[in-house]
Amino acid sequence: MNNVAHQAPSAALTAIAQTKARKDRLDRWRIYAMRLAFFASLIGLWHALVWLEVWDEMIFPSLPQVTETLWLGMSDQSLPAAIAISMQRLLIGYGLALCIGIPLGLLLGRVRWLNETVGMLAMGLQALPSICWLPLAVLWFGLGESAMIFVVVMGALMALTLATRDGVKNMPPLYMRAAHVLGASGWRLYVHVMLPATLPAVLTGAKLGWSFAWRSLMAAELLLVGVGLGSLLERGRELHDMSLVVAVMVVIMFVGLMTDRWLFSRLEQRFVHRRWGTSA
Amino acid sequence: MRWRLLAGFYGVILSLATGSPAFADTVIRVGHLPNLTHPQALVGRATGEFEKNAGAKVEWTAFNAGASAMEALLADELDLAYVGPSPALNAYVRSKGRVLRVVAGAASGGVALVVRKDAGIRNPADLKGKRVAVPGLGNTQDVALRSWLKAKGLGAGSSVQVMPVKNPEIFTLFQRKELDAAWVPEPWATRLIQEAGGVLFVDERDLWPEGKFPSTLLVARTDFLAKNRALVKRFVGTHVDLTEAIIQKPDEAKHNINAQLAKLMGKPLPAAQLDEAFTRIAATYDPIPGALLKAARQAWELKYLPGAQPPDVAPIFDLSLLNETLRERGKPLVAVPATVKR
Repeated sequence: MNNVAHQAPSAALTAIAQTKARKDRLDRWRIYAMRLAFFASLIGLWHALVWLEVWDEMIFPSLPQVTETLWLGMSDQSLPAAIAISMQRLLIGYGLALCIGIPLGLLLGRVRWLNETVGMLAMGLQALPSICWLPLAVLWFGLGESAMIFVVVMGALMALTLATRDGVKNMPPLYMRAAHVLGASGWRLYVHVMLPATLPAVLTGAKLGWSFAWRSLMAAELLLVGVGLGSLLERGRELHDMSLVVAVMVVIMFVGLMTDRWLFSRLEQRFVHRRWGTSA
Repeated sequence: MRWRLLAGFYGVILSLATGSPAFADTVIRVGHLPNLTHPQALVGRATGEFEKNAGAKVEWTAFNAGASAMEALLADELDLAYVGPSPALNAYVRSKGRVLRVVAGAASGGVALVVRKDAGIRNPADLKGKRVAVPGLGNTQDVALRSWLKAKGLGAGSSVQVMPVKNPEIFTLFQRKELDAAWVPEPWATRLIQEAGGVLFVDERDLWPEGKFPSTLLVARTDFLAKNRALVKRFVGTHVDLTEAIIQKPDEAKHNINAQLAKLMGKPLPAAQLDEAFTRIAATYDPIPGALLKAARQAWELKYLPGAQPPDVAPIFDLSLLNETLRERGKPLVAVPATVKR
């Protein structure tokens, strides 16, 4: 009797869960279908515009042209090479920004006079698109990699620093008090209390910093010729090869989307939602 | 209300995008580069000669690179342009021969490879591991440099770094020893020599038969040419007269050129630079078709021009207006090539 009483609600719960799962699956399929329909109609519109010759083929390349350019770029290794070199610059610049930005942000959040001075500067620099550094960077570091990496660092650094600082400032004061009471001090306070507590904010900053870094890099590569995705796009421009321009734009979008979807969503899932129990 | 506003907004955008210039018949939009290899443009702009003879308002635009000028031409923002052969060829071939025609030549020569005195470059092989600048990717000097490097066994895969950098920046970076050499048009070659510790390494005239090669051409947008032949003919006529004047009275031309350069660049060139630069440039209305066809082949070999076969670029020439003008002036005509020699 007792057993049945126990089972009945659990069966009901299972049934509810099953219906929910089915509904979720249906929802997911509906979303996929919606997406497919949206992109199909977008491509259809593209085709229609090309077919109607609204614009000249030269200034508005067709899908087959772009696909062919993508294919050619892949097969002669120029696209993979450009992606590799751009990613390398991004990782170096972004890595540097992480190494500088997070400690700096923690400090700014803790030390008031530092926040009033350096924090102010960081806010100002945040408003400055990092590509504005390029003319100076070229003169300081020369025409090579360093100038571009500098621009990337300046792009990501401020977003990271400020997000980390705000994370520290918004941290519940109770954590610090508890940490003090439990005897944490010095670097332990930073590594074991502040860093984990500010992690959600830091990750938000890291995500923002990544997209800033990515944009800065593309801008720098467009202006400073060499190799890389931005330079490949500029090559398309200089040679009036719009299918190359569009192909590179597609690749840039794809890379950006992939890093956001895979890298950051996973990091968020793993370090923030799981730790703080906020996952869906 | 909101809808009407929105519709109005898109209407404005649309009319801007399709952009029909109000006085298309009486305005000619002409592009050029602020280089000495564009002498007719500089003199004509300074003296207003084109307005006087062509009977139309001339709107001048100075571009930093030939590719930008061609971009403007493709976007219907320019009707005529003084431009180097490679940007003209790029635009011509990419548009499948539709967008432009070469209606006359403008200048021959005036391009040089300058190396930094202390870069230790004595012969071409010394360029290995060095940075050599050109004013634009796939532009005339870029094609010339890369073809020359290839001929010297320093082509793709060698350690010579070819860097496309804009002329004014080449000058700064050359001074700062960030660049070891540069293949540039005048007045930049002379400026590098006289102001930035450069030495003349190759005068491009030495690489071409009789020292003649087109460094600048006069091109016209095809549909503008078709609709305004009389106007373009008057423009070409003035262009021919100015060419003669520059050859016959170089001092007066230099004076006018410098006045215009001062307006465009902020300050005039020192007389010594103008004089040295001018020794390497020849104004000419002959587009030197043979050399242009060779340049097209070189650009194709460098993969700047698409296609499995070298493109047939002979139809780029429409020299009928030039030859009509020359016939009227009693001068020898310019021959049009029939087809490309493959």
